[in-house]
Amino acid sequence: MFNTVQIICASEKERAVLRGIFSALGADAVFSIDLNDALALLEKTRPAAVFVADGEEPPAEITLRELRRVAPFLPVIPLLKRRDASRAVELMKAGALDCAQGPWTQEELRPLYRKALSLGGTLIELDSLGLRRKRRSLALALAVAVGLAGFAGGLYYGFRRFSPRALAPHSFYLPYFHPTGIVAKADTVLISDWFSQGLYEHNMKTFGIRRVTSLPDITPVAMAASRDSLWIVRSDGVIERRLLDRAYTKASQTRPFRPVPDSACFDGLYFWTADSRSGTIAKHMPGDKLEVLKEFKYPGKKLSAIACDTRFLWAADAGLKAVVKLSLDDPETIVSATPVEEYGSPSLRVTAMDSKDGRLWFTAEDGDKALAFFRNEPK
Amino acid sequence: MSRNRADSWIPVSFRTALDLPQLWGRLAYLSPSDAELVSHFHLPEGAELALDFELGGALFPAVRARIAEAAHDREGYHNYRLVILDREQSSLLRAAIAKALPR
Repeated sequence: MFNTVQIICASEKERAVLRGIFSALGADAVFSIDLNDALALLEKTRPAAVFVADGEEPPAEITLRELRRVAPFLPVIPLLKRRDASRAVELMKAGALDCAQGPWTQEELRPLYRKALSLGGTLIELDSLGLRRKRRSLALALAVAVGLAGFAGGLYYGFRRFSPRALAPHSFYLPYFHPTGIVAKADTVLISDWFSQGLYEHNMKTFGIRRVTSLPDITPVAMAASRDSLWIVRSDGVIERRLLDRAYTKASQTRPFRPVPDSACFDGLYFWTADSRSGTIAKHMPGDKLEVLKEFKYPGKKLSAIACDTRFLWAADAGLKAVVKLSLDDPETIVSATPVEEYGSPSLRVTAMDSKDGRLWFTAEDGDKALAFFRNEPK
Repeated sequence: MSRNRADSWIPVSFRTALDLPQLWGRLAYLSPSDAELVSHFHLPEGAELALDFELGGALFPAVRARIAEAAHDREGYHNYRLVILDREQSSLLRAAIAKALPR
């Protein structure tokens, strides 16, 4: 129904309060006690919006991201226990439409409930056209500019398409020999090396070295990155979180993990590690402690390294000589396996992977050489 | 189907007085001299606000603005046209907006 809302709230007392409020608002309210319960019901109830009580487990940020992963256009509104503007802004940045302040009352929830119902995946329509009068002339100027840009763009596209192009290399030998982690950024590639205990920042096109950062106190055996952090797995099993500043300043570290992971990645929501010796993949809660949520058995032949993005988990498999695509929801089922040309060399050993913008990046040792190479991700 | 723009408008917290707690909303529009605030909190026309928000990775604390015009939609949300009052803050915004624009 168009007025169905789903409410995630563990506390029975609070559910009773919310039941009364949403009933008075005329909503058809469906209650869930936690995220798993809500996700199980989501497909059946098809709510117009979801309200999430803040301060429960898992944190509202996790609930937000999980809900948006399965229903990207669904308005989600956290219910704060008190008036906390910084918490509200934090949650809005994480994807909440808006936040309701505590104590929860019909007057407080009415505009949020009505606004959420009116959205349904479309743009917000503002009634106040009067506020936009000044922008009409700007819009006209922009339209002319866009027209000119479109013409110029077409000219440029035609030139690029029909001009002969030199093939760019996709494989680069490295000046160090024991790469253990790779992170592809916008126009650079960061690689860690355990022997030299360094982080090497390469130009993505030419692979020339732009910067070297020495890590004399640690031996990096794996690496992963998010938008604002770099994680380095040490040889003693501790995972350090570092800032993405010039010095990669250490921000926090976990307890030692056993067995020591030799591959790691971040899918935008969860942190993943893998141990190639036992063929185990672990899913971790994001945060400074990276607590293990669940472990999976790698379904392929011989796991070498993993990478992940918001859609899939990727694995380099030395037994299948292929890159294997796995589902983030069920990493024990292979979605596809695509041969990797570089495995034609019998001494090749993939040591790390990363996924960025439709490309899979690899580092490998091949005899007494080390290389980095990339492939477009298999369809 | 285009993604809902509402949840990509800039989240902002603001204060109407030093002794009152902060409220929140989103900036639907921002320029060096004016802005449009969407919030479910009711504020009177003419009120002065101190806005805190992030733009292009930079924090903008206590940006002073006055509500020049207020409108209300049928869902009970409020749309406020704000005028940025401080010239120095306005210049900083101009630089940040120019930097944040796609090249």
